[in-house]
This record gives sequence, structure tokens and C-alpha cells, in this order.
Amino acid sequence: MTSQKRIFLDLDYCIGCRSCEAACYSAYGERRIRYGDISSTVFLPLACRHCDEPLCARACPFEVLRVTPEGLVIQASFHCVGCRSCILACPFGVLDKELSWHISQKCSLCYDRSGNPRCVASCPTGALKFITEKEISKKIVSQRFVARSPYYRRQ
Amino acid sequence: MILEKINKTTCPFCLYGCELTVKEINKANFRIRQVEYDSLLGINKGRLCARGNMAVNILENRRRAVRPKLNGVSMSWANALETIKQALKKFRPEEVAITYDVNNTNEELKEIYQFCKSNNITNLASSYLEPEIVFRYTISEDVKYGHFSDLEESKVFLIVGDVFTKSPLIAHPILEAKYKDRAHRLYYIDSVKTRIAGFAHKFLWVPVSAEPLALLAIIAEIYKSSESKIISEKSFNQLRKLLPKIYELIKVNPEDIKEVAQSLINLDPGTILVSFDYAKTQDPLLIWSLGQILQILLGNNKKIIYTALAQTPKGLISFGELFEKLKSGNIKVLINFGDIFPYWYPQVHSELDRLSLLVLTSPFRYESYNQGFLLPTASILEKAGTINSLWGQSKLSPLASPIDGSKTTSEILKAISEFSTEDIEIKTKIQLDINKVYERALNFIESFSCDDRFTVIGSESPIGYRGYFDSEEEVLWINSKTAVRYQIVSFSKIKLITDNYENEFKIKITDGQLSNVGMVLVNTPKNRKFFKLEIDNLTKEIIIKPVIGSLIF
Repeated sequence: MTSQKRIFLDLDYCIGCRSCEAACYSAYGERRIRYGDISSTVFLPLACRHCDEPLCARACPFEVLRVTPEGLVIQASFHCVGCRSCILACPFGVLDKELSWHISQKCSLCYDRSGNPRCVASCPTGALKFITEKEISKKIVSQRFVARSPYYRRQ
Repeated sequence: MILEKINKTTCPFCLYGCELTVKEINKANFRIRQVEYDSLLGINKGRLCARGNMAVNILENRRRAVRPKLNGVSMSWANALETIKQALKKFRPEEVAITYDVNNTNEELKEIYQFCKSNNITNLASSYLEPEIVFRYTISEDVKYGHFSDLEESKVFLIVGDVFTKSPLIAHPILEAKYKDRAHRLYYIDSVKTRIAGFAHKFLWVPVSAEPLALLAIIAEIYKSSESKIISEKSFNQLRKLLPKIYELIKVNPEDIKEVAQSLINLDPGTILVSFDYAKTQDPLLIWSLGQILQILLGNNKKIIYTALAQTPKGLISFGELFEKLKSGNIKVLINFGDIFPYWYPQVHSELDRLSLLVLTSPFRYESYNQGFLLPTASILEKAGTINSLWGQSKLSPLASPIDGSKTTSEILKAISEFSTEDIEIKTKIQLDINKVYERALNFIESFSCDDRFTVIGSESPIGYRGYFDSEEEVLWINSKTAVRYQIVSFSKIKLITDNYENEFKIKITDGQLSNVGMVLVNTPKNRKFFKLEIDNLTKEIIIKPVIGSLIF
């Protein structure tokens, strides 16, 4: 699925303002993009990766989570019972452990919008990027960040 | 039939002046409002911070006030306005105070001034009491304020305080300018290791409230190379004598200060950015004044920019003077036009309780204080007019029609009393005597001492705004050394006690704090009770200092 667009994070620009989280909350009333606090100066958003072989979809007992032909992993029916299997199965831990209206909170990459997902569109510094895997390999992303240990980032 | 409407306005939640777009979709029996980001117009290019993203939440908030109330009991508009009108007639103008905070357009502020002039009311003050009020003071007319284009072109930045949290959108031009060339420099002075420290080439981590000392050290380093004579040679010699003491107090390597000073002199153009958090520093006025002195010393190629959530003119008297009158009982009536006063300032509640007539206007219902009249007004997002931004005046156009049951400030003023609409000029900048500021700076060096006791400081979360609060307001951030001293671990419950208030907090250990310093979030009024309102000697404005507290299991 290298041609499918995904959300990437450029750590050289992320200021940890949590605007992405607010944008998601404003539209859905849920925090489908969460944040991780690594140290006092590193504070980054965690979004669903929309895996090629999603373990959350495999774990779902009612086949609510499905992969669309475009490669999106979405909640395709209303039968979610809030069993949290998908939350436990996610290897990246990006699904919020809190249920919203008894349903797990799952990023759908804002498929109702034609352009970027809301979190990417609202990002104040352009740290979140909505691009394909091929494009990201050509760009210089987080190079200043990875040059140093994340804990002592950018010092 | 589906009707789509796009409404655009200037985001009023900070001074950066972003363009805010809300799409309204009307179907037969329901309506959806969504924030839109597609706009390529505006200074923000469609991007928004957490506060801007919450615009729809404010328009459709469940806590919006829709009926006038007296001591928490609903009443009709006609009844409320008539009662206030009759009650006002019983008092002399000296006994009446009018205040205003945020949520007012410039036109509404003008009407409030006109109302006071017509009714001979001299007790007119701004009730917005955040440390940002110091930005209305200027030390000289020669101070050069920066523009958006100055940010983009800058090669060196000196940031004092958490600028990115106040206006997250300002981070974009700063980081773009920083990454443009390897020679570009970004320096940061603060007592808390915030996100900006991660981007800075040099982070001057000073003790709590010691930011003015770091600025004085930089001023001392650049004075010789400056052509400006804003500080006389004699005054400078006084500072030079105190320089070893400054270095001893700020606990920063002198080489780092020299590097910052050299970069500020050599790299052109540059920008100095200043911002304040509630109760994070002792003397915001001094930091702001020293920032301005630094800009003048560095010359016209360096500009100064401040970031703040709002800016209000001072009024006819400062709030400090009004607060003293309230305490002495000379004021019998207070009418506030705005949103957050007195809910954000629990320190004034006891004074307000004694008033004969208290009229508050706000778009929101607040459970924390329900004394006096509460008159529901339109939110600033539902108003037309102009507001001030960092880059001049910006136009506001309503994102939605005012919520049913609310009235505008103008309607309320007209209903209470008649007033003439002759043009009036509102002074936004107030000049300070530079000699007094300099004298204060030298006294500050003499009196400053690093306290060994546990200090509590305030901080504002970037995300908490109008109904979207994380559970973090009950968290106390301390560093690992403090945790060892008090023998506590992360997430353990502890009681924080100060002279004014006590509350239970969950401990969070972070490497961003200094030893013996605890940080609480002040987005919620509850935590603001820890801090005392004090009156500044020079400006008679309210200042909020960090407090000494203790931790008890």
C-alpha cells in the first residue's frame, strides 16, 4: 500500500500544541489522534497507521473494523459492542483506551473530507503531513531529531 | 433542501489574528457547524490551534447563558433591566464602577467609555487581570514592534516565556526561519523547560522569576557595542558592578550569555519575543521593559513582538486602584462587561459579595459564582466589529447569529441609562519613565534571592478551553529531585497547601521543572485560588506572583 496516503509526523516541527487532538474532538467529539509525552520537550501525536494487515480488524469479534479497497481501516458497521479487543490488539497503542458512547474511537482519516484529514489541515506548524510512503522517503523528515537521542532532542 | 453557508472571521482567542472559517450546513430539521481548514487566505493559511478548533464548541456550548439571573434564579430581561435601572439611580457616580474584560469589540469598548463619560463615572477599569496587561506599557516611542514579515526574515530569535503556548501559530514562521540556514540562531530564557527549549540552540534555564536578571546580563554584554544611549554611562556602571552577583543568582554559564549577546549583535535582522503565564514570574513589567530596552540598544534591525490571549485598554483607573476602593467599601455598584471576570479571579469574590448591586455579563453560565445579576450576552464569535491583533486592527464578522435570549453590550447599556455617542479616543499605550524602570531593575538584583522553600508556579495548558479540558488540572508537576526529597512517586496523591488555599493533586514527575518547584495548571479557576492578587507600586496594576507552599501526604 505504498501509494496510499498516511499521516506522518515531522518531529522537527511538532511543538506539542495538541491542535490535532482538538480538531478531531471538534469534528467527532472523540480523540482519535492521541499524544505521547516522552519528556518535557517531546510531546508527539499518535495517529492510527492504517496497517496493511491490521491486527485490530483481526481481533474484532463482529468484523466491525474492515479494510476498504483504498486501504483505510474503518469502522464499517454499527455493531461495535465496545469489547476493547481492537484496543488491546493494536501493536502501536494508538487506540484510546476510553470508549466514546460505548464504542472504540478509531481514526477514519476524515474520509468525508476531500483534502487532508482535519488534524493535518489544522496543524499550526505543518508537522503532520498527509503523504504517501514514497513521498516521505524523498523528504527530509525529522532529520534534526533523529540525529540526537530523543531524550536530549534538539539541544 | 441542503443549504451550505461559509462564515469567516478573525479568530479572537489570541492576538495572532488567524482567519477562522466555519461551515454551516442547514438541512430540513437539523444544522451542522464545522470548522473548515481549506482556506489559503489569512496569515495562518487555514491552520488553527486548539482554541481556534474549539470555535464551534463555543457557539453550541451547553453552558451558554440564555436567561438573565439574579443570585442564580432566572428572571425576564425586562424585569432584570428595569431593576438594574431603578437601583442605579440610588447611587452617586463615585459609588459606581464599570469594568470590562475580554469578549468586547473595539466598538463596544467605545460605547462603554461613552456611557461612563455621559454618566460622570470615573471608576472605569479593565478587569482582565492576566500578566499580559503589562504589554500596554511602553518605555519609549522608539521601540520598534515587529511584523509578521520580520518573523519570516529573522536570523536570530530571543524568546522569553512560553510564546508557543500563547500563540501556537507563531511557531511556524519562527521554525521556518530557524531551519532556513544553519547559521540562524534561536535562544530561549525561561524557568520551565517547555517545548521551545527543545528547539533552542541555547536554553538559559534560570531560577523562578529570574528572567529579568538574564536580560540584564545580556544588556550588560551588548551595551558597549550599542550606539543608543537610552541608558547613561553612569547607570550602566551601576549595573556592571552588580554583574557578578547576577551571574551568581541566575546560575547560568557566563559563556552562554556572551554567546547570546554576540549572536544578537552580529546576526541581522532579529526578533525578541515575550510572553507571560499566570503566576509564573514575579515581575512581568520588568521583563517587558528590559526586553524593550534590549531592542532599543540592538537598533532598528531587531524588533520586539509580544504574544498574549487578549489586550484591553487600561481604563480611566487601573484595576489595582479600583480593588483598593472595593476593599475600603467606597464602591457600592459594579457592572462588568465581558466574559471571565470574576469567575477566573476567585480572589475578588469576597469583595464583590459586599456590593449593593453587582451586574455581570457573560456568554456563559458559571457554577463557581452566582451572586448578583448575570446578563447573557453574545459570544465574540457572534459579533461584528473590529478587534486588535498583533498586526493592527482586524475585522470581525459573525460566525452565527447571537444565541436566543442574549443581548449585546450596546443594548444593555442603552436600557440602563442614556448616553451621548460623541467620538471618544481610547488610549491603548501608556508611557513609563525609563529611569524608574531601570531603578526598579537594580533594586530587583539586590532583593532577589533563590528561595529554598517549595515554590508553586502557574502554567496554562494549550488545550484547555471552554468545555474541552483534559483531566490534568489536578496534576502537580515536580522534578525527580523534589520527588526524592518528599519521598513520593508519580501519580501518588498529595496535598498542596499555601496561605490562601489547599487542594489535592496527583504528582507527575517531569524533567522540565527546577528543584523545589511545583507547577499547577491555571486554566481552571480553582487552581488560581493559590495565588494572591497584589498591587504593583509603579503602575497600580494587579500582579500575580508565584507563592510558597508545602506538600503534605
